[in-house]
Amino acid sequence: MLAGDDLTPSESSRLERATSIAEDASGLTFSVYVGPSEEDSRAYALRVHGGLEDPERSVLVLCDRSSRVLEIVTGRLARNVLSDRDCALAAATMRSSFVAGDVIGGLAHGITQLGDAARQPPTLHSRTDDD
Amino acid sequence: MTETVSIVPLYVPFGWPKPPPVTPLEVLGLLVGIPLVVIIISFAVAKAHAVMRESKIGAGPHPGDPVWAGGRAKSIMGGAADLLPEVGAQERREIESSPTTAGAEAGTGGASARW
Repeated sequence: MLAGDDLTPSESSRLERATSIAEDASGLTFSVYVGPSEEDSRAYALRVHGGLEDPERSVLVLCDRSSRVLEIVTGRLARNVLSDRDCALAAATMRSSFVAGDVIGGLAHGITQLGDAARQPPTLHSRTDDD
Repeated sequence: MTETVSIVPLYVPFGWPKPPPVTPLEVLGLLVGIPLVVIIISFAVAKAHAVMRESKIGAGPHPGDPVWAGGRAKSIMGGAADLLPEVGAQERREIESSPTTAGAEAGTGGASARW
């Protein structure tokens, strides 16, 4: 299976919706890359992540369907609200869908799960300048 | 090597016409010019093939191109297909008890998976 050869418009829009929801929930920037990677997929994902507009606050989800590899990379600031354990749980969720053959569904679920995990609820009891 | 020398003698045999002298320019053309022309033609053929392929399948995204997502659509996902697949209890325990799966390269985090 090639990289993005069978992505229908509805599948693309589903990924767009998932990233939008995750961004709204978390305040982070989510980027999804579905395409070929390299033999060292982690190093490749880190390079791609480094090339994003704001890598510090970005979360990259890289999926190489031909190599059956999934990489999630969180930037330095994004990692403060989205732990590696949350990423591993989302990766497990995605993998279970991938195994069932639903790559796009798995990505959409995983991205929204990442957004939920990084959700930062507004607090009403934060310190103010008067304190 | 000796056989070649004996088959093709390096002297003009008796009775044969004397060959015209070869100028350095001709030597240069033979050893450099002709290979250069061959290389240029090979590059031109390869480039022309790529251009023809591009014009045949058209501009824009092609099969095999990476797909990016990260837009700002505001639609709400829904439907039964969007129900989160269950992660097994055993798998969840393993994940939660294991050390982080990602390296700490330059302060980045994340996770990796294969299927």
